[in-house]
Amino acid sequence: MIRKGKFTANALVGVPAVVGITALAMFLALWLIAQPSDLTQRMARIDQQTALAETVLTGERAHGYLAGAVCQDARTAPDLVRQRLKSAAVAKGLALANVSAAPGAPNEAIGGLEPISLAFEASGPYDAVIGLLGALAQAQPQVFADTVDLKSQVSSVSLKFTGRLFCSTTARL
Amino acid sequence: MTAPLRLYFAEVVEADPEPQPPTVFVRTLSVPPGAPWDQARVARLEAQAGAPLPLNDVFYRLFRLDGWRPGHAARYAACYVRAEEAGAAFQAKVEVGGRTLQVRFLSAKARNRRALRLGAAAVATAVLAFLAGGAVTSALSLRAEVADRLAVVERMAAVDAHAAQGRARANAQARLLDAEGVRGRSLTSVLSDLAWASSAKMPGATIEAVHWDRGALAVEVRGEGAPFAGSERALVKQPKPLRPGVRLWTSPPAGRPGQDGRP
Repeated sequence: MIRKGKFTANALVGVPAVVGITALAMFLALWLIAQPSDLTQRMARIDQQTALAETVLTGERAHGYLAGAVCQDARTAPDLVRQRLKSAAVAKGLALANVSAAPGAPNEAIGGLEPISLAFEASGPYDAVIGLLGALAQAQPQVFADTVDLKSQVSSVSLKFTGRLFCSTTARL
Repeated sequence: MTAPLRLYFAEVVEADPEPQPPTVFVRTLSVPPGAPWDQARVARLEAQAGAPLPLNDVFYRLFRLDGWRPGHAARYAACYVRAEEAGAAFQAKVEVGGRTLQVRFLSAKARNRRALRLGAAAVATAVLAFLAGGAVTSALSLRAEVADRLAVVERMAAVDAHAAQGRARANAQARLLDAEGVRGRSLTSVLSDLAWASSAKMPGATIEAVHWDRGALAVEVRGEGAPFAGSERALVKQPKPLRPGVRLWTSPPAGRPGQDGRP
């Protein structure tokens, strides 16, 4: 009787313990199987990206400039602007003269941007001159005007333009 | 005085003899070469045929004494015990050819019980294996689903992050361009001012030249009359003529909402 009692007591404690431990181990194993191995890292990356996006996208947005207003390569930008200007002038049937596009002195107090001075003269019909300015207005990098002089002639107008465009001196600005 | 004589009757009872353990009868068998399962079958048949008592009255066990080798005969030991002596189960050690064998005999009822237990355990194991397999399959399916959803969320987060980076770059560019003092000096502003000049020009006005300088507008007009109609932009007539018959009219930079973000 004593042995039977001990056996019953052992069974009452041992069997549920074994079943419980097995169930817990099974649950843990299934939990590990059910989630991707790199879940924590990926979730952390998502949280980081979301926090960054939330901070920037809900913050103040700067207006007033075209996307791509600043070019990335100051060495090639002058040639590109010259070519674009000549192509537009040819397309509009304008005579182009005194085209110059050259890097200027950066403003050391501001930093981050290298100016490229642009100057040219064009003559032809008024609508064509306006069309040339319109084509330049859509160009990237964005062209900013300092002075624009339009003089009326007998059957055409002459345009004298000076302005600037800017290239970034830091990567991925 | 003498004590009275008492008589006692004693019954002599023969004591039970000490129970003797069941006797195990052992015989060795030699089986001709063949496949292992064929040799086992032949040995079983031979053990049954050569049993010392009818098979209903004995339990027997068969042991292979050497390893199987192709082309070699096999040696088996057949161990028998009387069923009535062995009871439900009996275990003994026997010496055969210098080897000690542990022999365990089970009655048919005990064998059935054991088979029943084994069968139940096998069924339970199969059910558990089935359930475990189902659970693992479900977990794998859940993992794939989680991975898919995670990929979707990652794509959305990447798009947002890309947009945020673009916005941050644009903001940084705008700050630098503002510092350079070019706000309001895009060609769109120039074209807008020229378009205003065209539309607001008085019908009889003769404009000889238009000068745009950092947002300020100046026009050379032949005659004394105002070149533009309306009061959208302030116009100032310069007191001295620029040339004989030509006056200069100036206008400060216009404030215009739009792409330049001017107020």
